[in-house]
Amino acid sequence: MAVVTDRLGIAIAGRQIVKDVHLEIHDGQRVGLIGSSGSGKSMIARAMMGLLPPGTDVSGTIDLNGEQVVGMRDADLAALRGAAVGMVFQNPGISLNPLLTVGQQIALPLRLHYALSREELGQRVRAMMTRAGLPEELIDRRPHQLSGGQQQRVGIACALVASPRLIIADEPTTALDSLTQRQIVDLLVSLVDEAGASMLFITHDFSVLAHATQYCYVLDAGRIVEHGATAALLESPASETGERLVMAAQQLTLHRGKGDDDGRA
Amino acid sequence: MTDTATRMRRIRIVLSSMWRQPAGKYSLTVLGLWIAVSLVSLCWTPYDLMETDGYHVWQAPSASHWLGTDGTGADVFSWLMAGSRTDLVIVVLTVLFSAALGLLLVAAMVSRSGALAHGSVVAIDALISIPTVLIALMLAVPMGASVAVIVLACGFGYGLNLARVARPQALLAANSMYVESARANGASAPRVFLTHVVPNIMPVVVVQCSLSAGTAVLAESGLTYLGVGVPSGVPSWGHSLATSVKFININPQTVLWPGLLVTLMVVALNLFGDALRDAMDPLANPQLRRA
Repeated sequence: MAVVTDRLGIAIAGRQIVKDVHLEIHDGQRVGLIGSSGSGKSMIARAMMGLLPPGTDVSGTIDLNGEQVVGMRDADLAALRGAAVGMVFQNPGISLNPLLTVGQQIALPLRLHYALSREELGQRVRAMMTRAGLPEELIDRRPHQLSGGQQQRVGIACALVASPRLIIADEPTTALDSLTQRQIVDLLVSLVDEAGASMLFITHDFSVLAHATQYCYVLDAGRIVEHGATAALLESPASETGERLVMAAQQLTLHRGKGDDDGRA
Repeated sequence: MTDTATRMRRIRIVLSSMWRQPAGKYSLTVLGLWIAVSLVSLCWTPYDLMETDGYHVWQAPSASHWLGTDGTGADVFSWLMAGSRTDLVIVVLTVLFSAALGLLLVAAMVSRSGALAHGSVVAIDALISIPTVLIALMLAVPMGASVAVIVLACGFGYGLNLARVARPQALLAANSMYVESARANGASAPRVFLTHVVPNIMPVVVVQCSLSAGTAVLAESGLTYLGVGVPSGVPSWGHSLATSVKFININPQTVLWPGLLVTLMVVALNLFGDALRDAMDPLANPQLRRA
């Protein structure tokens, strides 16, 4: 799915959070959006999903394959979410309903968008669990009975089960340990590529971005300050913010172990 | 996936957990007996309710009249048996009405429309100040004394109360990340509320409903005594109390039996709510966590 935001502005209670953002994601492309905390990354993601809090002013345009998201009716947005655009959240521990089982959580987008029989639903859920690396015996478990990595795998399965054409991953590895981060990024990338979908990967960590994306945008105080191929941007960031983020990633040996085969981080 | 078998297993676990607590055991026994007696009274009572015996008024309990007779010579046990089903109907209808109204108001209070949310909070705060008795008296003007007056008046008052008590928990759920996640999956506002908010506020709703049920039994007695509740001739515990209280100096025991029943039922209903909440809480019930 191709996405273009043009002159996107987001203001909450008169305070401009995001200013004049132009961002493009081509069909099948994995694009990163990086910036420090509070730079407005998640706001852009939520604007693409039409999930901004009430009272938020949005200006500019967000074009999802020809459909204009800004100003779209709630019912049309609901039809788009889950089916055309899937979202993976930052903290899987709190983004999964504590009362629903793994099977029920993954089945939710399918129930909402497709009229499937009980058997078909079960088959699709089990198939998605296998693809997400979740053993079938976890199907009746509840979120608190899973590890952080398993919880995020469930989150990824929920986002991908209805075969959306765009995945928005909003800091999906922040709440995880470094080893699990790598596994989750690899899983997400392989599933997105396998489905031929596009992905917007949001993070404040360049070392994670290097593995997940081909192109990236650097956001600072609500504005895009730099964009380009991720590898090139990591080599020689042009903006001050980009340089700071790259330096931080390089200094954090936590992500820089020998396991990082490409050596960019 | 949770299927019917899993659901049944969870119900069995909840009931057995309740049975292990003394309060749960008491409430389940008393409420079970109440339902059983109500059902039996549909087809059998020791004496016909209209059967009176002027020669045997104010009789003490005996083998022929287990709880004695009242001032008309009618069998007290038969009237209390028949009254149990009226009170049961009142309790069930009041709880259903108050829960439906309360949840509807909670939905309005946690809606994403600021005007609706704010307006419903203000409206509830204003309406909750009207006493249930006053609502019942106002309803009785066009409707006369009837079971519907008790159900509507109590259900309205308890529904407002439920909404106000459940609001903080509902706001927490409505603003949670799992609700955001459900919306990101395409769930509509009504579906989000029913599937994600309501199940997460059930412990509060269950306790409020059990308190409402207990208070409905008391309200039935009070409103019937005032003449706006169960109409004359329809058996109910409130009716038995109202007709016998005038003769408390002549024969105190005819007041004792319905009074005792009302007390036992109110205690059982209140304890039932507490025990059910504890048994339904996955954090407090490890068996349920594993189910």
